[in-house]
Amino acid sequence: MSLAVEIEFRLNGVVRRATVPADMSALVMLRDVLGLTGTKYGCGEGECGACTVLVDGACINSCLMFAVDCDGREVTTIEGLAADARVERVQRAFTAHGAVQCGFCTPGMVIQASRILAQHPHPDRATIQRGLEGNLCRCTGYKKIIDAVAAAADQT
Amino acid sequence: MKIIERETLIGKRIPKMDAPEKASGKTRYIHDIDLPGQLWGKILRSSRVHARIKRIDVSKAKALPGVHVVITAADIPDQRPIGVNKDHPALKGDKVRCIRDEIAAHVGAQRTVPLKRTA
Repeated sequence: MSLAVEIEFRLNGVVRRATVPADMSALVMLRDVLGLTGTKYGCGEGECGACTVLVDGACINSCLMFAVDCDGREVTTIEGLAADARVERVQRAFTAHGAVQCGFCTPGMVIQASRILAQHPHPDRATIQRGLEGNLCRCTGYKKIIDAVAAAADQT
Repeated sequence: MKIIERETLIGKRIPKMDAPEKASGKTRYIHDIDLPGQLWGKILRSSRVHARIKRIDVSKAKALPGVHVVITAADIPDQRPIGVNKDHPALKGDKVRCIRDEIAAHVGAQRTVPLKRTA
């Protein structure tokens, strides 16, 4: 079948080794090989942002990244951010402001929103909107999501 | 007349019970579940916008290792969709009317056994 490659990378702070087919996406590796299902498979083509993870600190659509390209990198998923104070603040704001509906886009939204706040501690609504452009919510509740991110920013 | 003011939920913001679990990625959606012995289904869809189905040969698909069942419209002899679904039965037997119309489905032990289009 396809070529398998051995890789080693840091996943949520822990060194992991995996043997992955060369054509496997990072998302499939995270979900199906490593069992971290907090990262969601939405569209598989970089449109929706449900699969957002942090790679070396940057937000990446894991469906568009090959698993082999995780080699030597630092990958952080929603599961690995449970103890992160900023992420926790965003999660609480999402809950308090009704920004979670079906919840499928939420892990990706939370990661992306936390990244926005890391770069812009006091963003205006336009900045939040621009930052969340790559994350689609099919319940279409964007107003409350933006409210939540703004509220999380105010709490600093 | 005296108006009795009662405790009311109307107009109050009630946080969703399952929101924290969803926001932390812990919620298990159907495709997050992987039970022992679980089987995976997959649907073969039309690649043509409008075409007649003359013949479907599923013998090779059935012979693939790990495949439990392959079905087509022929396996559902009495599809009776109602209303707007009249030209949209679960599996199309005579004709496909759009790209993505369902033609065949299989269930297998692996998630990735591919159904190959040959039409």
